[in-house]
Amino acid sequence: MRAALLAMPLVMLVLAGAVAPLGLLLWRSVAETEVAPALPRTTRVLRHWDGQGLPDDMAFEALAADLAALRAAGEPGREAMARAAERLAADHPALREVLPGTAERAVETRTTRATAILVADPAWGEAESWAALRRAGMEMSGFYLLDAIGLRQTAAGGLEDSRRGPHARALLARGIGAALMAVLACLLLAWPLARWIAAASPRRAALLAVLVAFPLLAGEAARSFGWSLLLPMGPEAALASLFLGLLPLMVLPIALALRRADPRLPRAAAALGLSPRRVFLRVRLPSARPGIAAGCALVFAQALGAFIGPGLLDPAMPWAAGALAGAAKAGNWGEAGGLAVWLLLPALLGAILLLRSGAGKRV
Amino acid sequence: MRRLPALGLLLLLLLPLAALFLAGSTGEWAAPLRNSLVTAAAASILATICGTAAGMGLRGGFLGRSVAIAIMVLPLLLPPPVPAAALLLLAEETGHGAGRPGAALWHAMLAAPLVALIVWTALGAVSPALFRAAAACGASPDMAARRLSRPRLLPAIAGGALLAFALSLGESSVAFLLGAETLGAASLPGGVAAGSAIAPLLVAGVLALALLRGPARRGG
Repeated sequence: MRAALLAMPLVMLVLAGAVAPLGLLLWRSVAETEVAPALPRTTRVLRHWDGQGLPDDMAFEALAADLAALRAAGEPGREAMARAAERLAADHPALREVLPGTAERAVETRTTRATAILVADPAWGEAESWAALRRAGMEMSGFYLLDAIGLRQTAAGGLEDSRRGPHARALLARGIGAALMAVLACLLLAWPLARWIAAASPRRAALLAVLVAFPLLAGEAARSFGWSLLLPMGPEAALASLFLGLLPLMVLPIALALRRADPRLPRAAAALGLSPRRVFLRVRLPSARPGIAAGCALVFAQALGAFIGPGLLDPAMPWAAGALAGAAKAGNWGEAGGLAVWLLLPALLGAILLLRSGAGKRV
Repeated sequence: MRRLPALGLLLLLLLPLAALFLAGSTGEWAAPLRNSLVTAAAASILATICGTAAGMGLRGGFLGRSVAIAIMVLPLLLPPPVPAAALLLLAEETGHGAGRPGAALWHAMLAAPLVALIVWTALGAVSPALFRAAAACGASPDMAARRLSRPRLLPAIAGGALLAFALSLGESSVAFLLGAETLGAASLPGGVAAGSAIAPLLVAGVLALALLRGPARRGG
């Protein structure tokens, strides 16, 4: 009981400071916030539309009324319309000019309001435009989630490449690919350093651990800036700075696990005649396993989130984390939420799998 | 000779910071330095309190202990821009700027599990046999805890607090996104030069202090 109470403050801190904001961000990845406030009547009418062919006159009437209301609202109306047009264009680029254009021209046409809409822009004669409008007007949709991986929904309900499809997938592929490479590189490089720390005397081990931790704690900005003084810009520099920057996250957990293991075990195994290779495979590697799992999970998550180094050392080739940082800075919460989902998914799945396997069997 | 590859790797790790020190620093750094110190102090205090309590609590068993551990380590397993974006969104929704309070909060959440690990390890270093011996000699549980655990606990807490302070001083990505204007984040992107060598220098100083306080933190 007392133990649970002691653990509670930190649990509450993380729930309030990380889990709750994350929930908010994830909600924004599926929430539609731009179109419904600007075109309330249209979105209400379109909810009853079955999506086949064109919607009936009611929808045209409602759109005309909404656009007229936006024009009448002056500056706030113009802003709301611009936001709605931006959102629609992200789905169906042809719609970027259609909304303001229709609002402009529809008032000049002397006919019924529904006809005026159709005359003002032929785009309203296409099912694709109305389908995009209907999806954007719903309370929630998968638009941002699909957009982050470069897909969009068609009027028929299928999926197709969005205009920036290849670019969006390249962003994610570069980010996840770099993170996987970072895990592999750190796994290969970490062993000698971890062994050194694990085998040293307590004083020397503390000194070495602090020296290894120093570049990690000094921050991504300082590391990348240091590398930018030494290396020519390019993808290689970005990757090298990433690998070496995150290496401490692999070295320290492995060193900790090795120090916890009984140091007499490998010696005993060697005395019993095991070859050095088998001592490594049968004794040292299993005892380092929890550390290796924790290190892989930490390096993978931090590498997925690296954006300062790649932005500084290889500005021409942004990674997914850079796009997320840009979207968050610009306040594009839908885009940020969509990217966050696709970054969180591999990071958390990887962490769960790794930590499970690491906690499994201890030797 | 056997340690040559490891030594080379260690030097390679330290190379970019050496280059940074040699290049020196220019630009406005007084205000970012103040921001950094305030943020780091707040983060360190919060992380030390929560982390120490958690480390002590995790020594005992209770229902939902593994869930509590999973929640505690969660911040370390998130790609930094994701929680930064989330905190920025929360700040926008509630009508505040995120800035330094947000950065301090995040740094505290990053450092607290490490403080908890250090405290947990320090408490575990006392052999249970000693507690049994103390009880057999007639010491009350309180007395035993005072004489056996506390001498190990205090250095561990101090080490954890210094680690949290150093981590917050150096952390740059979340601080940058939240607009905290700390040393690591103030001049990004583009002209990173402003005060850039100062944050690592401070981190090195804090780490050296932690080291001189004695090897209370084994391997951590």
